[in-house]
Amino acid sequence: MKIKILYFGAIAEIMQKTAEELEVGKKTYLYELKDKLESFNKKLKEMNFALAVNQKMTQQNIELQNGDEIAFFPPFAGG
Amino acid sequence: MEKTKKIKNVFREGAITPDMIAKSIAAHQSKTQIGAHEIFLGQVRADQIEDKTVKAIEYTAHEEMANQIMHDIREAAFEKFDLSCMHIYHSLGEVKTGEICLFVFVSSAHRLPSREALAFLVEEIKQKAPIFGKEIFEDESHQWKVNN
Repeated sequence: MKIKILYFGAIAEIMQKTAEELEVGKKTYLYELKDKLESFNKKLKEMNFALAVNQKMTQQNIELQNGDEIAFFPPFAGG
Repeated sequence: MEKTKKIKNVFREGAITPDMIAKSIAAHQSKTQIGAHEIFLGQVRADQIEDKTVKAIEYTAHEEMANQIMHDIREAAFEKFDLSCMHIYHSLGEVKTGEICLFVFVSSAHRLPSREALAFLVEEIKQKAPIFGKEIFEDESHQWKVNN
């Protein structure tokens, strides 16, 4: 299945992109995806980030669905 | 059926101008049930890090999600405080030091609700909105802003 990943701020800078689409197997969980991306890019592992799935912040290892949007957020800096 | 409120776009490209703020104040003069306005203006500060000085902040955001979160914060404030109206604007793109990047405008019949609401709103926005700031120094190097 296909998922969309968005990167912001300092994370976009180290990933050298703001978005990508990835093909992942059925029954992929959020933390598996995170671990996979961190193994591709060691710098990501050192970053402080929060995750949102379909525009909702989450700290749970949820099962991903086809078409999900996953956002990697560095610390917020509004205002 | 409750009418669903349309989600507003809080984002403006570039700095929020004093002219825009003045026009916003003027637009409220017809609302004669209002007795108090409270305004918060966030201004880009020329922070010094070691021997470098910030000259601008370049803002980016997950716009759709940030607008939804701002909407939820706005609704929570209307729920908590007795307010007449409320406006929130945040810059995107480059805002130079000395320019305004956040404009929060709250109005109520009497002074206390708008004052308390304003403090609540600014903290919520800083904590919850997925907005990111790249602090650009005078030598074009940069670092990433983090809200405390």
